[in-house]
Amino acid sequence: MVVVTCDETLPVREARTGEPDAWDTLFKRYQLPLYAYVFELVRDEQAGLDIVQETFISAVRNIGRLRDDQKFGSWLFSIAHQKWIQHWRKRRPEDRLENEQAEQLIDHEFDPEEWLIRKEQEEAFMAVLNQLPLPQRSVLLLHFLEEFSLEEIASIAGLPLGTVKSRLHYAKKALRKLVEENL
Amino acid sequence: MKTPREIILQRHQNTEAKLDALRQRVLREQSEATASAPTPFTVDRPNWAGFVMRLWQELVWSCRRVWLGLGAVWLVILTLQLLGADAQAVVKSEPAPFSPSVLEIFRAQRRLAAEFNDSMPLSSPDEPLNATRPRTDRPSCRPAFA
Repeated sequence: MVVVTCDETLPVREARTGEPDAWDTLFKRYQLPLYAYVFELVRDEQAGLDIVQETFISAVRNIGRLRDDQKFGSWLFSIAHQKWIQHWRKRRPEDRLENEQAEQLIDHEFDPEEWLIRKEQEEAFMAVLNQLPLPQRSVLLLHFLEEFSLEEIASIAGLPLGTVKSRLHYAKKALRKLVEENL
Repeated sequence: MKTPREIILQRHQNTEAKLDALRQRVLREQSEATASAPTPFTVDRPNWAGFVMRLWQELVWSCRRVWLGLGAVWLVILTLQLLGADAQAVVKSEPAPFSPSVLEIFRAQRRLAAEFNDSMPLSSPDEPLNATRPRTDRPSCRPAFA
């Protein structure tokens, strides 16, 4: 029986040897955030479940490619992100995920804890989140759900660091406007 | 008040059961796929090439540095052995020829031995030199004028 300690030492090493309990623990830890991330991008339950399943299968088959056990979470999300991109290209080949030019931005520390949403604002928060363009929504979800660093988000999404900063900046700006409007 | 993470996850909490079923299905299928995969030790279809490759990887390749070190040590020992054997072979195959002076010494010794043997009458080993004999017969007692 694999036990996850309080500091969340994930059993990645055991998973490399094919131990089923280790994989069960890892998937259980990430299944909901992973699904939430994918769903908020595809907006379809079945598609979201399919992508999560494909992500899990790919992770089991390609665990040997993971170099750093500590990066298992970002690695798993990068697989999910790629699966989402493939899904997006199949469904909407005419649309393109615009890669806007990154601006020189001040390197703000984005603290998700500073975003405390009141209950009456929750719906509005989700509405604003869903209105964001997909590129911005993607990076914002990654930062909210798993508190990935800017570098990790850049690695997951395959983007330059400046682009990630730019997208987070505009996404935060839109959300902050909502918070201020409702104060 | 909630964080954005709590809000987002809460909205998808009702999908948890489907995700549990999905997770278990994936793990079960992967376990079955691993169990049915052919191994080098399968009795029905022996895969000798795979068996040999696996032996090679586990016994040799995994500790190739150790094998290389042992090989180098043996090479050194073998080289020293061969060099030592060559030296001994050279010593045995070419005995040092006798020099002329040594041969001359042997000849001189042989001549002396022959002269010595000729001059000295051989006495019976059973009769001591001063055995009891009539005094007149003893050479040492013969009168000088006789």
